[in-house]
Amino acid sequence: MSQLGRRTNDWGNHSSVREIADLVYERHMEPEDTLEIAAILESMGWTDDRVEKQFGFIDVFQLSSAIWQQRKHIHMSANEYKQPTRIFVRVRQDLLHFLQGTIFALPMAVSIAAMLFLHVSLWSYQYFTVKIATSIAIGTILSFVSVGGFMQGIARQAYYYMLQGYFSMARRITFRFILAGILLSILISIALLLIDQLFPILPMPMIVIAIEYYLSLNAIWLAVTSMYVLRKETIFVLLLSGGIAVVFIGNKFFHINMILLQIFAMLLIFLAGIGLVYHFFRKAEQQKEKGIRVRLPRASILVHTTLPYFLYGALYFILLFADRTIAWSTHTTFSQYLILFRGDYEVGLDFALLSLIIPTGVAEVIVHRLMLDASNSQKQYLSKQTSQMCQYFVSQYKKSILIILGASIISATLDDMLVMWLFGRSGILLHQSVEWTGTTNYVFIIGLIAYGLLAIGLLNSVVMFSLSRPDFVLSPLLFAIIIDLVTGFLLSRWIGYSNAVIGLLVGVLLFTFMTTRNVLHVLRSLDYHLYLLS
Amino acid sequence: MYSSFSNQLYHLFHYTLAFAILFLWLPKYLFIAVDGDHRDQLIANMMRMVFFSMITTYLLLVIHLYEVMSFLGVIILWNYLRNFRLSKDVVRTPGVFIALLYDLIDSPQILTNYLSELRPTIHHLRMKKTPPSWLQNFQLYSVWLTFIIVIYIHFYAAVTVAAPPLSDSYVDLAWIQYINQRFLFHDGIYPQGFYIFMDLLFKFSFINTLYIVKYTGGLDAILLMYGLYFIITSWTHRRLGALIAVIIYGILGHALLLDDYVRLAASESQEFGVVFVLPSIYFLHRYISRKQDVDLWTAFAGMCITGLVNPVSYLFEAVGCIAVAFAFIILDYRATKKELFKTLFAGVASIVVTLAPLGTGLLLGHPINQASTTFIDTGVHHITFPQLSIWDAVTLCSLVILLFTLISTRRNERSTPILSVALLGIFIFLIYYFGASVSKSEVIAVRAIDLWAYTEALVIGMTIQTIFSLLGEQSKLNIRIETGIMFLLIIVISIVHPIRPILPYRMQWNQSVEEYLSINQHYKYVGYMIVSEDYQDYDLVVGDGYFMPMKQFLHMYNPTAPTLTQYGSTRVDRNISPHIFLFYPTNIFRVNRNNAIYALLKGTYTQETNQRNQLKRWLALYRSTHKVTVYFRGSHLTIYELQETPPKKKHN
Repeated sequence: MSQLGRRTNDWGNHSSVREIADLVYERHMEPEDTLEIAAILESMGWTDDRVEKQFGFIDVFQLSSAIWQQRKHIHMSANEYKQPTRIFVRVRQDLLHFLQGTIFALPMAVSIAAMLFLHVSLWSYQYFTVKIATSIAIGTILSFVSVGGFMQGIARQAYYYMLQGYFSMARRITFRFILAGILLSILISIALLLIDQLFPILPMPMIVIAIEYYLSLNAIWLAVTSMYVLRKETIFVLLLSGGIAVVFIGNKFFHINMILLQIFAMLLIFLAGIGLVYHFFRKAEQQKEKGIRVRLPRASILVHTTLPYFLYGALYFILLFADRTIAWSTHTTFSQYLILFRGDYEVGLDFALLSLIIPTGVAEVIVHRLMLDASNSQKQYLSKQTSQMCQYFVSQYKKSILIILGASIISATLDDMLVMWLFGRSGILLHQSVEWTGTTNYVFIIGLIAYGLLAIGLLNSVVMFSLSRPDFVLSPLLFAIIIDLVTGFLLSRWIGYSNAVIGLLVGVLLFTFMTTRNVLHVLRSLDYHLYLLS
Repeated sequence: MYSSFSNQLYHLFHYTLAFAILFLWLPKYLFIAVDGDHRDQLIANMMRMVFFSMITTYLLLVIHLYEVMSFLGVIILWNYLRNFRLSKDVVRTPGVFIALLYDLIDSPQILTNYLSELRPTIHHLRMKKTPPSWLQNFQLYSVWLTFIIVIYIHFYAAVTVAAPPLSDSYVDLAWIQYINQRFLFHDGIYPQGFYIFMDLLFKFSFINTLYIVKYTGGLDAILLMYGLYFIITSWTHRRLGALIAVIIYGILGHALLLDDYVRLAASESQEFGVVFVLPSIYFLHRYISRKQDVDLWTAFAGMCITGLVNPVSYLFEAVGCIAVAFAFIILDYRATKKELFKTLFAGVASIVVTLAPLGTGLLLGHPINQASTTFIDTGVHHITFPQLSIWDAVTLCSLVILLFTLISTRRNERSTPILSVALLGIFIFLIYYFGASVSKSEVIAVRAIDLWAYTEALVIGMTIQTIFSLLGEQSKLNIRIETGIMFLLIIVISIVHPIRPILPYRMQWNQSVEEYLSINQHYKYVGYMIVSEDYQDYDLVVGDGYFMPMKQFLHMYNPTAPTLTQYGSTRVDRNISPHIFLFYPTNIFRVNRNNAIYALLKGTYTQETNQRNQLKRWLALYRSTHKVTVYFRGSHLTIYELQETPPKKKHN
């Protein structure tokens, strides 16, 4: 998620006009005049106020004139950028990016491991009744959908300021998003309670449990994102593990109610997480803060600039969970509930989701390289060579898709082997209530294909966001959700609930196809998009 | 308790909310607004929404996709397509909304400013509206009072008596559940419109079907009265005639309907269909005179609803539309030729829509509902003409007055409404008086009185208002006299004719129904089964729990073996619900001997007595080896609760 916010602004920690000039000419080798330089400076976040405070110039235009004066000297040095990178440095960088891409799955892996070996996790328990499992599932899905946008918002905005060296602003913006996220969660909870009073879709105790988990999960997702922004993923994993330990010990040795324990543990993690986030920000402010204390942008501007990321966050999770909701709401003669958790479906998809870890890591590496190349290409190619440049990136992109596909296949195979081992030879799940039924297997196989394809869609999304074309991601995502819902609904009602997963597959297929087409379209006019970016 | 205030408040609230959202609020966003005041809008919207719901549900049922999500999906799609088609302005709305949102984010005080600006505007608008005179207020109070009395008469049984009214209610209960479970024509082909309407209310109100059936009966009656009030006030712009019509049908209805009067407090598809007859006649008349297509669409919706609900109500609708068409042919053919042809086309289209479910049912391989076939096939052997009452005489005189008024006065905007009502009165009277003898149909013989009674109220109300209009349109004295009559009428009626609520006959003890509701409330989500000899219990339980006839239970389960072990088996039957309730009637319910239905049920009562004795013996044996839990003990009924023998725990 943080990839989206990371790439567009790699400038910060600059102390002299020369450094600023370097950055400007790095973005545009041959600006037309001082006005274009002023535009670039403003796009980098320089304001009259800041320019005056840092360099003593009257406004941005005066700074741009100063930079214009240095153009010959800078021009020379800007062309000297091309330093061949050593192979081991490159491998090290790639490995780091791969780990960054996969680390998001670490909490999920810990959670699954805890479920397998301790039969309990932070928001799941093997012996919960179907009713409680339904409530928790509703709370979980709702939390992802409603907080997904805030997670993207934090990732985007906090990174933006941190990379410029404005840790104070990053802290303020992070906490502003957290506060907004919590407020919205509370509002949604109240709305849910009211709606259930007017339309008693589920019995009140079930709604109350769903809301308890919804609020607690929202709190920890917001803390996770902040930790992720600060590159403190390991600390979060430790917190999560601690929380699981609290739940396990409390239940095993003190026989405390599982729901109470889990809620308590999640709130504990949230409080500790928020405290630590604050501490890390403060520490960074003391050590690294280079900027000056600038006011945060107007709320409406903040909302406007973050809106595409916000929508992406919410829509992405809707796409991920739409099929489950459809499957669980399939009517059976024996059920009096409008929606009822179906474990066999859930287990299949959960295990299939693991296959997304490796391709996401690979995608991180690919996107990093691609964007670095794109940035450098402005200096490598002359204006008459733009078609060659575009062609180069199109072919690079096509290769990337093949790599991702390969990674997806390898990941799916490993995932399948893991499942076979867990449910077969290892004997770990032999006497447990988790069963690998025909439905689970069917959902798992289709899920593997769908998530494999989704990896390409996610790669496309990151590329599009990096090139400031969120519209090329959001509309495919919306269409994908619609087709997912319609296909899943029809097939689940006509054939059986397990076929809702076909909806996921069709939705993801459409999403991947549309975004691939859009990426190719953008890459064929990359010069224009790079110009817009600069 | 069923009749407790809190219980009724809860269920009435949910029922009203579902009705208001589905049939009054949602249609605002789905259909083009008709011209006219808020009453016209409300009624047109409701008619179109009911028709839309019926067609949508039929289609979804045929393709096995009927449920809340798919229904809402169709509504969203319809709304989207409508907006897409309407204009580009609608498409720009999100942009405007987002801009407003941004302004609000930056300066939240915009909202408070807006509200403070809005307050004086509302106040100003209120001031601008001419305040009603005391006479108008007085008339309105009289109308309100009349409707309160009507609601009391027709709703009383619905909120105080737990047992469903008449035998038809049990069919309603079961058919709503069949539709809810996507079984179309479960008991054979029969128009399902009424059950679709109730099932939608059931789906969106989340209350027990029993309440839906009971409230819908009362609602139908009120809407029938409102239909009379609406058409007369819309056509005459005065209230006296409308109020008299409502009093005649709603308060003095027994004199017109005789034994069928109880139908007005029960939920009957025919009465529900008739609800839409007068409004669609009104919109059809409005279309032919004003030539706006939206009115024809509304009238067409009404025609189709009656056809999709009940054949008798469709007959009434057809006669009404023919009466309106004839009125225009006689009085204004040249100017309305085109509209009359369009009306004819709409009428033919409504026949197609009405017959579509029949065709679909036959294609799906369903037979026609047997009870309906028997009813339709029953011929009248002894042709007797109905004996005319004083009310019939008054109505016939009214018809003469209406026709005389029409001939003696110059043609004006009221001419076609007056002729339409007169023709409707004549046609329905002919059906009532000669219909059975000409057609030899039991349906006409039995049901024509219902149509005639409703028409009588309309004709008398319209005639009285026409007479008063002749005395002077806007004369203050005339209005004062009308207001005085309205007030006096209510007082006199209240004194002379005691206001008594309708209490339709029932088929079982209230206790039995109340206990079913209690069991359902507590065990619905864990599963339960009711064992009873009373087959009415099946209709109550279907869709929520399970039902087993007592006879089957006694023959199946061994009382001396572990609970719920079948004869000849050593294992406990795990394929049934874990909570079993045996209904033991200490006093078997019997309908009144004078009731026509008694003869049909006589045999069942004997059978129930035998079953009760067998159950007594079974329980005696069961008690010797088990502990029996009494779930409920009342004056007419004892309910025993059996719990499945739990499986032995496995020790590893």
